[in-house]
Amino acid sequence: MLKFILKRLALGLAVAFTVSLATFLMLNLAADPASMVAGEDATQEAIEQIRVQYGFDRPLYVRFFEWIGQLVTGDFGDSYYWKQPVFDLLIDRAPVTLTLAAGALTVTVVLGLTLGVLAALKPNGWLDRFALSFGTAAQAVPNFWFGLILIILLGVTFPIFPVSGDSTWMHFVLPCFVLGTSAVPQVLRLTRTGMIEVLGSDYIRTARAKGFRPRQILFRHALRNALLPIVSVITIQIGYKLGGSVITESVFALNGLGRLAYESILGADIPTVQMLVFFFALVFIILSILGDILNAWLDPRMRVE
Amino acid sequence: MQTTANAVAAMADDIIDLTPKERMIRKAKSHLGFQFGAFIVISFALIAIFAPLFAPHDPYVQDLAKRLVPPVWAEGGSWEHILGTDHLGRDYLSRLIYGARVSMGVGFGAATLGCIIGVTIGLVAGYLGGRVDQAASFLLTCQLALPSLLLAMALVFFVGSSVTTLIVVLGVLHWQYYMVVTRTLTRQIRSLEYVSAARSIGSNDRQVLFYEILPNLFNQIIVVFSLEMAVVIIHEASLSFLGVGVQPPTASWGLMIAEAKTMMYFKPYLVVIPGAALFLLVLAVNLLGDGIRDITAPESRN
Amino acid sequence: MTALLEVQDMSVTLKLAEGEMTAVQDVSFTVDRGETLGIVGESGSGKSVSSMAIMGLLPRGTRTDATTLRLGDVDLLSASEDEMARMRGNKIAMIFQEPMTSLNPVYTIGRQMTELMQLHKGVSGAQARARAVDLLEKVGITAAESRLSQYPHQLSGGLRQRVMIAMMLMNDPELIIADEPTTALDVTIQAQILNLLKDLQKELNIALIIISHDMGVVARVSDKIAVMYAGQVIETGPVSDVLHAPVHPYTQGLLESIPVPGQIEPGGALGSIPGLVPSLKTRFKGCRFANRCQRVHDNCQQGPVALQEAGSGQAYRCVLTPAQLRDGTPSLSARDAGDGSYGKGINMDASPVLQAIDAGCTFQVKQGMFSAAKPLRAVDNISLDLRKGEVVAVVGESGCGKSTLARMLLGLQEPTAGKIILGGQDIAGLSDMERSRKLQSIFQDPYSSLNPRRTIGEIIRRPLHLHGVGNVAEQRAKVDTIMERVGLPRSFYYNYPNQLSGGQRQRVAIARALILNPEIVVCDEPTSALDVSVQAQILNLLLELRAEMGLTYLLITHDMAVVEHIATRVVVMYLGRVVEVADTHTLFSNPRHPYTKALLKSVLTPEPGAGVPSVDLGTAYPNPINPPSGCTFHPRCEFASDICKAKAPVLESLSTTHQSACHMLEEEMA
Repeated sequence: MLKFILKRLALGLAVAFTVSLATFLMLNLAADPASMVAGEDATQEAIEQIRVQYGFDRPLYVRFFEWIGQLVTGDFGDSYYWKQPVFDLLIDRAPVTLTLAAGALTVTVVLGLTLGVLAALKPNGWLDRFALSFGTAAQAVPNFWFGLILIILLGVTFPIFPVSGDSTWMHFVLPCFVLGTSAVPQVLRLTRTGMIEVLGSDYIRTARAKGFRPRQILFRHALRNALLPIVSVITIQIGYKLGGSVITESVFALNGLGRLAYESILGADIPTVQMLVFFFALVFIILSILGDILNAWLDPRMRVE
Repeated sequence: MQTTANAVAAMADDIIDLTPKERMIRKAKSHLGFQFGAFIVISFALIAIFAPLFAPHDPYVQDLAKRLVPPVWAEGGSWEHILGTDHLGRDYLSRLIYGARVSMGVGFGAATLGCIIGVTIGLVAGYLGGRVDQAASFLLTCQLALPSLLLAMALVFFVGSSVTTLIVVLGVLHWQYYMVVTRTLTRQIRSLEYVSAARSIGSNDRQVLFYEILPNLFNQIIVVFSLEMAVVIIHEASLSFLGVGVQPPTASWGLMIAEAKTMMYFKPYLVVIPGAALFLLVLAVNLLGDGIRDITAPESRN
Repeated sequence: MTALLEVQDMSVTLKLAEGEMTAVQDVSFTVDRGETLGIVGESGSGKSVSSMAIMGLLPRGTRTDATTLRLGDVDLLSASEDEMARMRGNKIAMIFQEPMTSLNPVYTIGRQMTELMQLHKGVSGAQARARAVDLLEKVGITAAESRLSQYPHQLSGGLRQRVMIAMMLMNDPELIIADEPTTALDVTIQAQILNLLKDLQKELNIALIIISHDMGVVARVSDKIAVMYAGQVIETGPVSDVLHAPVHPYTQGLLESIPVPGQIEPGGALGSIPGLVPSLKTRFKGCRFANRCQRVHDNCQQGPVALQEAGSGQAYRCVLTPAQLRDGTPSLSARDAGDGSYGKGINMDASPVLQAIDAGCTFQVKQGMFSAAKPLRAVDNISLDLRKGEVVAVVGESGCGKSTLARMLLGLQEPTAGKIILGGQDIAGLSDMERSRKLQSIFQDPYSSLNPRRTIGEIIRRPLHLHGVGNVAEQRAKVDTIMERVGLPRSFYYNYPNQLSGGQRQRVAIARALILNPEIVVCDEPTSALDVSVQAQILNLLLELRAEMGLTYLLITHDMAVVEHIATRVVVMYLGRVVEVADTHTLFSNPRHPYTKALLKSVLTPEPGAGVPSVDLGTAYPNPINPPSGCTFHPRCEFASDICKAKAPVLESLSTTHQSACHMLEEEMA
């Protein structure tokens, strides 16, 4: 088991390095960083001055390893746009996004699992049809539009929830719901398929032949098997929630990491953007490692003797 | 031995003696989701292609005297502007019709690019296996870790927004699903006896790949294509909504929603209409994809 | 006195999109305590559906009708779902075919056993555990106590099936239904499980129903049998009466289509039943077997045929009398063993057409996602040669490397040691075209050996296209000829594989293999996925084609009965090595290696009441990744001595045609 964890960590490290390299190259090659910082109307001289001032004139690999060095030491450099250390920005904005992600995840898991299990109980029954229709619809609704519609309906027409800001928990209800429902279809479908597959398996037939009632079979014999693959999907979903926060936070004017990323992009602030992309990727990598370990621990077949 | 339910279904299977094509047609005829999806997608595609013919007005002509005219069903609306006008007095229906071009074009283009990348990687990794496959898996893990929407936003904005940039960036960031499906299926099929049989009658790698394996992947690739197209359409709209996608004055549904956002409390239809069009298109594309999957599934076991 | 289980006129109807389908019709039988009923039938005969109907486990949308369906004093037909749940696992227990998937992978053996007793008997956990340990010991599992905390994946298939049996005994059931209990197991394990079931049944006085497609299994363990065909019991009675004096033409045909060593001339034609099992959707007017029956009669289609008495408890479903039906059929024992001329005309001095020289194949296998790769010697230093006209059988259990050997000989798997010589040239140096002109193959699973997207015509024509033989019209004509020769209607040209039955697909595979006029055909388990009556058709076809086209076959199989019937020479493999080679007659009459002896002993010919000879090989088949030291067979060999553990024996020539690798023989020779 320890060996498994160590190897998984090594892989995670390799992925993290590759991702940082890819991020760095993509963002620095997408456009000339100096002219981005200088702005559209800047003269050639001003651009050249910025190029030297910010060190953009040095070779790409030097700048990359400088950045890696920053990552390792925890000093993430300074933002051009915000004129303060990127690390402080991150710490400052993270709580809002984490709250949002946690809330959204709860919505996803509760709705997705419940609907998925209920749907699987009687394939093609009315509950199944309802769950699948809900899933299809939820998949087709653009997040930002859904958010605006909810703001119009529940923020303005029937003013139940505040529509922007992050001062109370009430502010988080709508954004969490919007971000949460977007991932429901995936969890729902996976739970449903997994459950149907498990319920049709040989060992469930054995359980029936042993005289267990349907309810006992569902909770004692099927649920654990069906949930195994969902564990890793859910950990992956947390990663996507962070990425998806860009839109939700903009719509609901939440001051989190997503909004920071958005504003940094518009401000051509490469250090902050590249740090955020890497940060989200890192969270994703860590979560998927945790998911794999959790899975290995839950499934006796994966436990290495 | 399968479970009894399967055994029973297997018995029923023997009875079906239609060619694969006949079976698909028969299933398509009773699949409402597929028919609805196909109808909407084809209609939208036609509207997008022949936008100048369908649009009642020039979508770019501003008429400040006719700003914010309500749609025909509301008080003060007229048949002149069926869906009303926006804050610059441009005909909303015409902008909606031209917006379909962006959605369909970016959706189709980016999904095609992603398809080419993903299917190629998946096919090679699945067929060759070994180290090539490991390398491909590693690449996949890295791509999955990257926050694709955020990265897409940054890249599109840094490179400079245009429809081409959108297609390239979104396409390059959306190949994973194709790759996973192609790779898994290729591995499965490669181990089937008909591939061994093909080799023993003298087929070479190329003949095995193109004659035996690829035709059996088509259906699933089309399914992935439609699902990915739906995702890409939403991403384009999101990017345009945030102002880093298609630039004004081009008509894009995401951009229309963004422009209407400031007026959404008193003119909610400006937000509702393009969003509804977006929802309808994405829904239809998804239904079409699910429909193709159901229709081409070897045999539904329940 | 009435029997424990009474089933009278039971029918099972399924609702399908296209209408109703009767999967089982008017099935009647009784089983008493201490009695064994064998239900035998080909796939789709309704045997499994019947057993599920008794258990009340049929899926939604099925309807079970019967005049009587009773266990003890409980009417199973009118019992509520709750009452049925109380019967299942308690009064009636069921053992399934797949021990690998029938136990829940995420719970321990102990939990799965004890929960069954606690559910029905309300005992404490400790009591249930004590009983579980008792029963595990009873089914011959050592260290029973510690097994309780193991998970299913930690046990071999044979052990899991023992656990399954022990589990089903937890509540002292009155009736056990075993649905193909040994089909998924290796032949050498099969005998152990069957004997265990029989012993427990006698000891605990249980009523037992054994369902199988294998006439040998059913004949040897049953007191009475029911032969099912297309959803009906077509003949039933005491097992010796039905097998020695079958009345129904189907039973007669089925028995003749089984190759029984010593009872049928090797290389001769097996009796086979023409045609296919009818679809159950057919609206049968009369006898369901009429379309395949040699004795078909005007009365056959007049109306439903009832079971007729044939004396001493035997009954059959046919309009003719027993005297009419038995007239002119040779009984089993009258068939002769042949004059031994089969395979005699082969020139063994000629140079081999296909040859393996010290060939080996080692795979690097990873057991976990991240564990280091370990070498797996699938094939270890094998030399083998085929001469023109031979039928060489390579036999062994799953995991012995026979399929890898076949792939190497076909040029599909590169040997990691030694080489393969085809017609005097190293196969590695031949192009795909050169190789495939001489060497062709037929695979095991006719459902996966044909590309589902191509028509039958395209599939058979493909080799001609690849090799550029003739123009399209000439190719088409060749396809027509070969289709006719293998017994496929010309109209199948534009059909797809999914529209054909298993036997028909295998004919397509044969046609594809033969269209290039190859010299050698490698047949990898060509009939093991087929029903018995279809197997006979295919074996007959292969033998006819060999004679006509002068083919040489390499046959890969685990079925010794098939080997005896069509092979001229046999190679026995164990864990990647050859343990014995001999001409078929010598191998079957004078096997020398202990493993060959065990394999031969585990062949179950349909001898009524003969019981199952015990094959005690002790442990399960070893994992090829960690093969035992020395002679790899030593842990399972009763004669093993110290030298066996230390040193691997080499093949010793016992005669010009017989070689075996065993230290006992070395001592004998010395």
